[in-house]
Amino acid sequence: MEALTDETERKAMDYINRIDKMGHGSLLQGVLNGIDEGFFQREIAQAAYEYQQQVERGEQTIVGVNQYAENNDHKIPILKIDPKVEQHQVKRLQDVRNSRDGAAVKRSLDALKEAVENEKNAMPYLVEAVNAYASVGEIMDVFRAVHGVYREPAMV
Amino acid sequence: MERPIRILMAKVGLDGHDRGVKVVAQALRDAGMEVIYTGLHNTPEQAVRAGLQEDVDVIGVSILSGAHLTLLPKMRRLMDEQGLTDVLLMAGGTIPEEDKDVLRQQNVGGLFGPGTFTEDIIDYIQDEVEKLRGTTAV
Repeated sequence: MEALTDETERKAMDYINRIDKMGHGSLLQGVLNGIDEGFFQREIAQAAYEYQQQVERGEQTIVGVNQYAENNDHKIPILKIDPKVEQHQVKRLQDVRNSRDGAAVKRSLDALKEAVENEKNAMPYLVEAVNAYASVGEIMDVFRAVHGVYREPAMV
Repeated sequence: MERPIRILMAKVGLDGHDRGVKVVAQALRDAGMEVIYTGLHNTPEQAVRAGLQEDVDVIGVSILSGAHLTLLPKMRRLMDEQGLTDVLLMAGGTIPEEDKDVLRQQNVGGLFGPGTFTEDIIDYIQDEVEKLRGTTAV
């Protein structure tokens, strides 16, 4: 038991040392660099792949998948969402857009944009925008316009 | 020698679960296929365009969001419109049995669920691509 704890501790320290090195002595910078370079994503994907291979070779047991698996026709009750729900919600949004004060919405979103650009506390401006019935999408567009959108480096 | 199978692996819609797609992508690559992965959050249009540009044999979609009945037939339609009729569209993820027939009728193949072994996916792709190449060979 102690040996296993030591082993886990050693492996964790290995990672921490590697991340520290990636940040040239700064752990935080190492984490940021690691995200940019896809280090964490790659490590997680690699671990997932190795685990899957172990399952397929029978070295890891998943009861019901590669051990004691039975073929049966279990009917799984599935919650199905009626597509009408979407139409209904779209209509509600359109109704809100038609009935709100368009000028007030624009003012609140412009003010929010100004606050985000100048790194002010955005919360009062968010509340203002919500009170003017700006949609979540419209509010998020402001952040997207200023900051862009994170895209994970696509790699396998 | 026959050219290796080229496959575009895609995540479409808002679904952010990419553990499975990455595992399958790596397994296919280890099996000698050329794998291109789109990353997360593509529209059906983006994924089909990437498939067209990359000249792939297969577009494989990983879908765990429940939107398979909306997104997959749409992708098949876009592919057919762009002349990708000889490209296999297949999917894996959480697709209920009762939806599989609906998708198969619309020419969406594969439909592998949780617990699938990667070697079964590899066999399936190799068989299907062989059939598709057989029918379109000049």
